[in-house]
Amino acid sequence: MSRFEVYSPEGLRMDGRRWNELRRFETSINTHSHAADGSSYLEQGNNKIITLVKGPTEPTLRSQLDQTKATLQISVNLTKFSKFERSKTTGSNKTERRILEIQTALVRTFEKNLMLNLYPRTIIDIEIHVLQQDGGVLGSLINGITMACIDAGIAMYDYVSGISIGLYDTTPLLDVNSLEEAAMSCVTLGVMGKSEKLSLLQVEDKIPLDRLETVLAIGIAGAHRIRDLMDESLRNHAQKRITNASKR
Amino acid sequence: MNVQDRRRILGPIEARPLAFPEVKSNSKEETAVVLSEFQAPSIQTTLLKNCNGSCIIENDKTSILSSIYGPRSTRSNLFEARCLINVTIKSTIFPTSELKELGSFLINVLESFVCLELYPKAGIDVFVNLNIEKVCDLSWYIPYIMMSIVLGLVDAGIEISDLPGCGFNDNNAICFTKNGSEVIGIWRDKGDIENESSFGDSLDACKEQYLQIKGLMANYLLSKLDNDKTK
Amino acid sequence: MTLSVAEKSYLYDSLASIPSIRPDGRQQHQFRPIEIYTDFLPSSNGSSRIIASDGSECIVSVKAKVVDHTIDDDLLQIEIEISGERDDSLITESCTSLFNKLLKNIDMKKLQLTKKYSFKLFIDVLVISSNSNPVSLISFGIYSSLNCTLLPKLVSNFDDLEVEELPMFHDYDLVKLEVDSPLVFVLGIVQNNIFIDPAANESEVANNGLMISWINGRTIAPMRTFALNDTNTKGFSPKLMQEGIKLVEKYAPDIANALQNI
Repeated sequence: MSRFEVYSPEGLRMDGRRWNELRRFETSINTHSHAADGSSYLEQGNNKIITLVKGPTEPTLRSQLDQTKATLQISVNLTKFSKFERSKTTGSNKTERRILEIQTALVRTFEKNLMLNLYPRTIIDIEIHVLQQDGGVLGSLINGITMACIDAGIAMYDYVSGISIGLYDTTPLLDVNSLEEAAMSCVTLGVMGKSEKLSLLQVEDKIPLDRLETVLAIGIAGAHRIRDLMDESLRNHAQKRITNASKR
Repeated sequence: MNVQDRRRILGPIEARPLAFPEVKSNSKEETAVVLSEFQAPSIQTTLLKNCNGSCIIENDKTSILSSIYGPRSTRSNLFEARCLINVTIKSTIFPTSELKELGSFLINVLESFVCLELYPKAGIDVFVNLNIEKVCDLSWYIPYIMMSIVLGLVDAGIEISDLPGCGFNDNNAICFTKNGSEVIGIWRDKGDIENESSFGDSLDACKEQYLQIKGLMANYLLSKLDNDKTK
Repeated sequence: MTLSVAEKSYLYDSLASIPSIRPDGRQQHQFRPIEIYTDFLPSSNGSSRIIASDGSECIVSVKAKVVDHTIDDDLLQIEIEISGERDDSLITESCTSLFNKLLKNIDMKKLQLTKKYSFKLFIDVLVISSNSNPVSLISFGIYSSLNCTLLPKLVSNFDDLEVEELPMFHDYDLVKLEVDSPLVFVLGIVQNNIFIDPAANESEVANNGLMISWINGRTIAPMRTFALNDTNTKGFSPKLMQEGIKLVEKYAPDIANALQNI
């Protein structure tokens, strides 16, 4: 157990949120227009994530070439300075099992959502740099990728929004931070748009089966809220671009 | 706030990690001796059978062996109009990252005098083995490494536009070509550059050493040619 | 960047002419505009994000840790990661080796906390994208992140050799780290002309590149030549090196000043 009071009897969490409140969510797209075809910068609470989408382009290796659809490649770079304590591992952490697992989960999520069949014989390379992490990273990664793919103009069925929910005793806590994540069991969801379809569900700890429904319910509601926030930011961005274009 | 007794964390006061006395040779004196004057090394080429060209440069404390493979076909499917050069330096004394840095520096130096366009779709691999006693920084060895690579290239029959060489003075290792009228590389690892004139002096000293080295190399090659003829 | 033969020849001739004409109309000593943001990572002691006008971008984080300097006297550790390159690739390793040598010029005494303990700085560099040689950008990034590095304020005694205690820090007061950080300048050489900060297209035709390091009014080691491309590399006149040093010595203070004022 954590020595902090995770959830006070008054219904407040460590950072002052209620059980059903999201963290600050800010995102922008087209942040690295020179470096990639699509890019996004996302801040969810203290998570800071840069996502770069390169492609669809011709693959460099023959093995990456698929005649029927685009190959999706995702590389996650959790920088050494991203946590409060600098990670002590010498050398690269790219081959760490946890990272490889995250990458596979992301590829599986987005393979179903991006219309890869429209881009045969190409590769879409997604590069993610996590500059700072504070819990619920996988969910934030999903949001970042969604935004960057939209910026890259890659056809997709709908937004995928990611969120982590913790279960404290009987109360589900929406959008957990790292302290909460360490103190209780958590579920990460990837939700398709405004639907109740899940494209990702990750549970790494035990969760009572009879509580799962409430956890999923609040998670889906939170994911819908995130989808709206992403949509709003995209529309603002588009509005700005249109006014800039008409000024010329 | 969490109040704790800070004085207990440390463990015993006398706890110290194991430290071994460093084996110190009287390296300072030797360095001074070695630095002051360039010692003409012994040269020998064509001593390895399995590579296209090789050369060993030996002093009393250093033995630098270069082996050159190529021009040979590259594995890449792409068409390269020019030859690709790769330099790998091996030594147990210096850290690998420093050796890699020197390798990439030497690649750049070689690119400026090897006739790359004569060998399309090919690659030249240069391996240098440093078998040395550490008396100096890595930069001090560059003239010898350079000499060994150049003679190795000549031995391999790879066309080069000149007989370049490198001189070392005041922490500068400067590579020259065309009788010192052109610089093809400079490597400096320590010390401030006080002013231009001192740098100019060091440049001249390097050039002098380069000419000396070039003379040595030319003499060696000519005498080798004579030997081969008489045989 | 891939240029056609005609483009290259045009560019080469204009850069080699006297006075040399750069494609973007810059002066010999002029940098491209750069954007720098500092202190945006709250979990690091200092951080900076630097973006060149061609989209090259580099993020630097400085984290500090208290170590016993009688045991660990290596008080600066730098790690460079270049996106798209492996950790053991030639460019990453030689960049790391170069900066290890460069940072030896930093005055380590400034990191001393007490007679026994010092701060150890971990400098992590992430190059997100680079179109030309990134060393100059990295050094600017390190400069500006060290410039905004804040360290906890010591409240316990400086002399802790007699009393065995760990250093204590003030709850919220921070002290600015005052160190001089080195800058690296990349110069491109085309025939008999030398110019600072070659852009990607200029690098493509340059005969050679020169790297000069500078700290607080002094030209320091390491100094290197390195090829900016693999097709046009040639020798250059020895005079150009002195000219390069002169150029750096003349304009580096202005650049350091500009970086200082962020």
